[in-house]
Amino acid sequence: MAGSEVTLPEGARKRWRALEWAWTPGAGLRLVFQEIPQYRGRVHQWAWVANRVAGLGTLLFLTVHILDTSLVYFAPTWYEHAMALYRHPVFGLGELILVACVLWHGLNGLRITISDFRPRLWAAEIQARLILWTVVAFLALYIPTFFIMGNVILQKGILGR
Amino acid sequence: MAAIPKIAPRAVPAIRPRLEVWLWVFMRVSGVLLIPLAFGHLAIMHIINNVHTIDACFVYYRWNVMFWWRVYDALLLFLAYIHGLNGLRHVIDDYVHHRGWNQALKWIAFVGGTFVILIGTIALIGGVRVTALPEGCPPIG
Repeated sequence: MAGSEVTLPEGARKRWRALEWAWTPGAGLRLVFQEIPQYRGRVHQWAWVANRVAGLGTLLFLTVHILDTSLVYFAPTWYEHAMALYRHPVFGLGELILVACVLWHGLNGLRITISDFRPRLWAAEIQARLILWTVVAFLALYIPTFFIMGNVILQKGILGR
Repeated sequence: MAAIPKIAPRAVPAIRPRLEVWLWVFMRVSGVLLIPLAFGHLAIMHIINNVHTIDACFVYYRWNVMFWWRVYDALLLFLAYIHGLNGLRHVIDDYVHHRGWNQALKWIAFVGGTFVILIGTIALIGGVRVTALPEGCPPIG
């Protein structure tokens, strides 16, 4: 109806706009948590989510890792401190997660790259099978790695042998 | 029934690859190269060696005695980090729709990423400053 629009006074409008601006990243996150369970893309979607999370996790560690390794030039004694910190079991757990992230992101990325060169593979049923093979390859590489690394964390990090 | 008009085939100009296309190609090429590079790095640093055996002297021998490992690490640094930053750009575009925030976050990622790569490059060229270590490194043997 004409004339029924509510016009806020200038000050309130400015405040509202500022508030909207401030909440925008929150709205993006709400989108992530509300829409991911609603979309129902099944295993394909979860592979995509895991790929993205693994990639972001790797990027986060990579940032820390480049900066800590650069200490060998900028402050070598601090580098030794950083390595002493990495020997703590909590960082050992992070290391296990990191290796899982890199392995999954790499193998999943390989599946995506191969599928791009053979577009027929993008059919949903074939992708479901390829994702299964990706999971199998991931487990085949990660399970032995997990035990080798976990052994070091247990023997040296926790038991101090 | 209306006749379907015949459309004369027309020549469509070939797509000239621009930044976005080159970045896509970079993501695939770097991704494929990173599989042996990153998996090899993980095998060397987390399985063959581990955080309990790695110290500044380890890096010193690795970079000074065997020069090619510096090239390996340089490849890892540039390929992996630029690959990661471009991925972050896609994530920002996917979730942050407010123009101001979108631009701001991408600029922060770009400037911060350039800084990190610069720091890494300086360290890679400078190498391990053994003289700054209180006990130095024992000779290899």
